[in-house]
Amino acid sequence: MSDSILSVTGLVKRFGGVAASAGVDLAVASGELHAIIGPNGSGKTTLLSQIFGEVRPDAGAITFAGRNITGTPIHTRVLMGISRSYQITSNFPYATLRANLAFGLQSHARVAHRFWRRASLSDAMQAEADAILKQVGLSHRADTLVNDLAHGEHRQLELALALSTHPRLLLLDEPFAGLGAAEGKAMVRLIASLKGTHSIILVEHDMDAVFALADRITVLAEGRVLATGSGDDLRTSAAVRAAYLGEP
Amino acid sequence: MSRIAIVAALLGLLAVAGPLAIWGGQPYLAFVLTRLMLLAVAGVGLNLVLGYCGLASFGHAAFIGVGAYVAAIAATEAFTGSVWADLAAATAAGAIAAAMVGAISLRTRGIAFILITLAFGQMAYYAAISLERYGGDDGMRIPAAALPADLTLYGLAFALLAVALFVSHQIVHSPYGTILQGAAANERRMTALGIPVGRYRLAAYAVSGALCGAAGALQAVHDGYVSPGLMAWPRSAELVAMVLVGGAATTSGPLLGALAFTALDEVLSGWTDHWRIAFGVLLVAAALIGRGGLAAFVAGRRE
Ligand SMILES: Nc1ncnc2c1ncn2[C@@H]1O[C@H](COP(=O)(O)OP(=O)(O)OP(=O)(O)O)[C@@H](O)[C@H]1O
Ligand SMILES: [Mg+2]
Repeated sequence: MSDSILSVTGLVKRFGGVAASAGVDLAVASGELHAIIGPNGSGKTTLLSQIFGEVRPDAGAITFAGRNITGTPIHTRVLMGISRSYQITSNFPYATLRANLAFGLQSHARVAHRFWRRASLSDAMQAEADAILKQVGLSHRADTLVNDLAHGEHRQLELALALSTHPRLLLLDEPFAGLGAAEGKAMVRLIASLKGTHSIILVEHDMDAVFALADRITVLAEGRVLATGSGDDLRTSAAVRAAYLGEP
Repeated sequence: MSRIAIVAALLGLLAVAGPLAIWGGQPYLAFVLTRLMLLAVAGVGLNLVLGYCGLASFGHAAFIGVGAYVAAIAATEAFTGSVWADLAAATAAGAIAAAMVGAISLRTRGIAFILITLAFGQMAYYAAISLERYGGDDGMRIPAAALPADLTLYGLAFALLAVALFVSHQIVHSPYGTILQGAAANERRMTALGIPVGRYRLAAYAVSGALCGAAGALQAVHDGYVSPGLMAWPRSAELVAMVLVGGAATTSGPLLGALAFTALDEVLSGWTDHWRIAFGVLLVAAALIGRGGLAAFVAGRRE
C-alpha cells in the first residue's frame, strides 16, 4: 500500500520453542484503524512490542513513515510519533494525573532533560494536559492521585498517557479489558474520535468494539496472519471461524 | 518544620559553629564538624542515585577514594600547587570514574546492579593497594606544607556542602529530576514516553560521583592522609545506611544521616568498638518506619 504509515514484513520472534511471531506481514494505511484479533497467546502483544521497539525481532523489517526502524531505540520511535498503551495498566501511581501527563508532554516538547528549571509545566503545556484529560473524560480528576482512580479510569488514563507524546501511530493493547458495558461504550466513542487524526492498531478481544471501530482486521493465530480484511470479509471466512471463533 | 527549614537551620548552625570552635580553642570540634560536612556531601551525591533514581549503589566509597587519591597525589607531587585546581581535578576524576562504572552497571537491575557496583568498589580498593609508589597497603601522608589551615578547610567543606545541597535541590525539582523519580517508580512507562532512561541515569550517576570525588579530596587534606581503607566496601555500605537513616530521596536526609552517624561515632566509639551496632539499630528503625528516615521524623510527616 503506497500510503501506508507502517509496514511490517517477515517478522519472526521466538521465545524458546514458542514462535510468538512466525513471519508476520502487516500494512497499516495512514489514518486507518487496523484491529488485530486472535486467541490468547497468538502473538498480538509481542507484535505491538516489536513495532514499538521493546522486543527485538529475530528477523524481518519494520518501516514507519518510510524509514526502516527495525533497530531504532524506543525513545527515537516515540519522537517519530509512535506511542503505545499497555494491556495491564502502566502509570505513576503516586503522582497526580496532571503530573503523569507532564512526563510525556515534556518529552514531546524536548524539555525533559532540563535540570536547572522548575518542573512545573508552562501554561501552554498545562493547557495541553487539560485538553488530553478532557478528551479521555478525566477532567474532573486532574489533581487526583492515580492510585485513587477506579479501574475504568485507569484505562482512560492509559490512553491519555499514550496521547501525551503526540503520536501519529497509536498501538492500543486491549483498551476494553475489564470495562463495564457503559464504560465500553464511552471507550468506543473515545477511540472513534481519534480515528482519522491518528493511525491506530487496536489489539482487542471485544468483538463488538472491533466491528464497531475497525477499518480492517487482521487475524493472528500461533504467530501467523490467518487473514486480513474488512469485518464483513472476516465474518464470512470459514478459516477465521474455525481458528478464532472455535467453530467447526 | 519543613525540609528546607531543617536544611537552612542546620547550615546556619554549621556556619557559626566551626569558626567559633576554632577561635574558642576547640579545634577538635571543628575537625569533627568538617568530617560531618564531607560525609554529608558524599551522602547528597549518593542520594541522587540511591534516593531519587532508586538504585542501590554499593560502590560509592570508590568515588570518594578516587577523589582522595587524586587530591593526595596532586598535593604531594605539587602538580599545580593550588587547592582549587586539585579539588577540580578530584571532582572530575570522581565524575569520570562514576561514568565508567555507571556505563556498565546501569545495564543491569536489582541484585546484579548491587553486585556490579560492589565489585567495582572492590576493584578500586585493590587498585589503590597496588599503588606502590603511593604507599600501597599503608596509604600515604600528605606533606603538612600542602595542607590548608583548619579554618580554610572548614570554609571549603561548608561551601561544598552548601553547593551540593543547592545543586541537588535544583536537579530534583527540575523536569529532569522529576523524570528520574518517575523512572524509579515505572521505568518501562517512562521509556515508553520517549525518555532514554539509561542516559538520564548515567548523567545522575556522574554528578553523584563528582560530589563524592570532591568530598574525598577535602577528606584527604582534612586527614592529611589517604589509604585504600577509604574505598573498602563497608565504607560504601555505611554511606548507604547513612542516607537511608537520614531519609532517602529527601534534601535534608543525607545531612541528618551524617549528623546521626557522626554523633554516634563520637559518643559511642569512646565506650565500645562496636558502636556501629547502634547505627544498625537506627537503620532497622528507619527501614521499619519507612522511606522517610529521620527527615520524615523531624519534619513531622511520614510518607
Ligand atoms: N517475554 C516472553 N518470554 C517468553 N515467552 C513469551 C514472552 N512474551 C510472550 N511470550 C509467549 O509468546 C506467545 C505470544 O504471547 P503474546 O503475549 O504476544 O500473546 P497475546 O496474543 O498478546 O495473548 P493475550 O491475548 O493473552 O494477551 C505466548 O505463548 C507467550 O507465552
Ligand atoms: Mg496480549
